[in-house]
Formats: sequence, C-alpha cells, structure tokens
Amino acid sequence: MEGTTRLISPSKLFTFACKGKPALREDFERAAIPHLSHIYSAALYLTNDEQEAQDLVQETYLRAYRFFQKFDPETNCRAWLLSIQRHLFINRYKRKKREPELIDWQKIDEDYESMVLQEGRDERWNPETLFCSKAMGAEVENALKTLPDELRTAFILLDIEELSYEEAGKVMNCPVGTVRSRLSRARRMLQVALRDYALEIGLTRK
Amino acid sequence: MDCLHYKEIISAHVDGTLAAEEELEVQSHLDQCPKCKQFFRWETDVKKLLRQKFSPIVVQPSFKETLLEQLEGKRKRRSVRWSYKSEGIVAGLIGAATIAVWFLLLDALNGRPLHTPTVLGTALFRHGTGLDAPDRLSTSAEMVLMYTWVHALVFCVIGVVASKLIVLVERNPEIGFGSFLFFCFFQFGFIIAAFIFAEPVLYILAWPNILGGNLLASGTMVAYFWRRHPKLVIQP
Repeated sequence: MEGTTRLISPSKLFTFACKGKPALREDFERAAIPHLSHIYSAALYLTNDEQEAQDLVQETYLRAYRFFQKFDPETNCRAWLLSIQRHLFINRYKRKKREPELIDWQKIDEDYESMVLQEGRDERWNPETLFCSKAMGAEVENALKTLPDELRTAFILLDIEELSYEEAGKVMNCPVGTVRSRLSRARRMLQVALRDYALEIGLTRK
Repeated sequence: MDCLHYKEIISAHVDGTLAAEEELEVQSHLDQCPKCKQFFRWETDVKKLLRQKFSPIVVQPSFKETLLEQLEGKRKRRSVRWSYKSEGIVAGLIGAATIAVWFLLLDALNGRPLHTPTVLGTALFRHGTGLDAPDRLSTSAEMVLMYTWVHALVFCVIGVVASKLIVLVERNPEIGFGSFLFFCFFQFGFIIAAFIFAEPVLYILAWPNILGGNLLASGTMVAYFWRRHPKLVIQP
C-alpha cells in the first residue's frame, strides 16, 4: 500500500476540478464602479490623451476584476484601483514617453516665492487670479501636463483623488515624507507655470 | 530652523497631515514669521481652488456600458477557463471508464473477471511479483482499486491537456491542426512509453485488446468534447 500515499486523492481531484471559481461580478461592481469617474480622471491627467486614458481605465478594471479576490474590503478601493492603474501606466504607457527635461528647481522656487510675496503689494496677484480667471480655462490642465510624472502622480492622487498621504505612499511605493515633498513641489511648479501664462497673456505684470 | 525647512512642510500643514509635534512647531514659526504666514495663507487658498478646478471628470455612459460589457465578457472567459479543467477531468474519467468496462467485459468473457486490473496493479505496485505465472494470479480487490484509480488519474491528465488545447483552438482556429498533432503525439507518446516500461505485462495482455480499448476510450472522449464544443472549427 505504499503507493497509495503518493497518489492524488479523489477529494483533491475534485478540488482541482472546481478551482478558480470566478469572483462575484456583483461584488466587484459594487466596490469598484462607483470610483470610475475618479479612475478615469486620474488616467486622463496621467496620459494626457483621451483614447489612452480609456484604454488604461479598461485595463485597470479588467485586471482589478481578475485579482479582486486579493482586494481587502477593509481598505480603500479607490486607492487599490489607482495603485493597479499606476502600475499599468508605468509598465505600458510610460515607455513610450521621452525622458523628462531637467528642471531648474532653484528658478521655480524663486519665481514661486516672488509670486506669493507679491500678494498684498499688487492686488491683482492672488490665487483667484491664478486659477479662476476666464482666461485660465484649459490652462490649468495644460500646466499639469508640464509636471514630471512622479510629481503629477502625487498631485493627482492627493489633490484630485483625495487619497491620504499614507495611501498615496502605498500607491507610489514611497515613504510619506517623499509624498509630502513631491506634492509640495507639484503645487509650486503648477502655480509657477500658471503665473508664467498669466504674465504671457498680460493678465498681470511682473 | 530656517524658512526653507518650513516651506517644505507648509503644504502638508495646509492638508493637516503633520504629526502633533510638527504641527506645534510650524504653528509657532508661523506666528513669528510673516513671510511664512503669507505662504501658508496663499497655499490654503490654492488648495481650495485646486479642489474646485479638478473635480472628477464625468464619464460618458457609453464608456461605462462598454466597460461593463467587457467585464461580462471576462466573466464568460473565466467560466471557460474554469470549466476546461473540470471538462478535461470529466472527459478523462469517461475515457478511463470506457477502458475499464472494455476489459471487464473481455475478462468476464474469458471467465476471469477483473484479471486485467489485477495484472496491471501487480505490475505497478508489486513490481511484477507473481507475474511469472499470471494465470495463477488471484484477483485482488486492492490491486484492482489502486490500478483503477491510477488509470483514472492518467486519463484525467490526458483529458485536461486535450481540454486546454480545445480552449486554445477556440481562440485561435489557425493553430487547430498543430494542436491536434501535438495531442496525438502526446497521447501516443504516452502509450508507447507505457508499453516500454510495462513490457512484461504486454506479453500477458493481448495487444489488440489494449489497442481496441484505447481506441474506444478515444472515441468516447472525442464524442464528449464534440458535444461540449459543437462549433469547434479546425483550420489547417
């Protein structure tokens, strides 16, 4: 009877035959579909292209559905979806992009500082001017496009998707301190880009 | 500490995400430094405006519908993937049962019920002890059951391989003929290997009986797969 110990038992065979039962689609839809507009927005801001954003969202949802059994319902589903999306974006879309240009952080910091400190001295210089002027329609989005991927991602996750610093850190796979610094830089760079545009169209003077 | 350090954490202070100690530290600095206080005011306003400016984009209903359809398609594909294993196992059990019945009938006709599984079981589990005089080998329920189970498992493996190939062919009809050849090679290779390793047994069991049994088993398995996949197309 030695051989029997090495044989596959009938119950194991039955388990194997029934393995891979699909996750309940209803559960997945209930958890993931409410975040669709957020995931789509993030994809659009990440890719800057409507078609690519749609492809990215579709891939994200299909992959999320495939691995839905791994999702912990106690955690934030949006953060989980964004994490899958970021992973796909880095692997599939970023390869197409060229290397980001070198950024002159010193100049950005100086510009930012002079802009902020100008408020009060020039009444036309304030955040409202920067973001809410009619002339600043698509410019805010265009300014976001100029940010390097890492800063843009931090900005999207925190300021658009409203994740916590910890959740964003998990999505970007970096410490909270790095998230903090990236977000701060992203906001500054965005404002300087808008300020440059405001100066360009003569909305206000330097 | 200088203002440069605070500038870095002012935006986190605006978000209210600093630890209690850091909060106190920043707050006391802001109370003393008008320049940093100005940064803080500015950043607070900017944050509010950004929230308004970047509210989530509304997804078109058609896109949402397409996505739900794709998920539905994925679910169907998953059920195919799920069933290929069970389908293969069922096919394997059918094939194994066909051969078992075939030899049960042959043995019964020869007046030696369950002789074949006893011989094969003895060859496999008792290293052929007693096969020198197979006619005197007494029927052993233990050997019959053990051999039948191994036999069923082997056929299940063949069934699962065949089932997986069918799934592949359904997706890519152009690889159908290649898959068919591969399967024939796999199955006959397996049978030939079994023949080589079970040479003494083959002298005892008649070749035509084995061949007949295998052909019958292949027939019932093909019939089962055909029934499950009536629309299967094989393109050379």
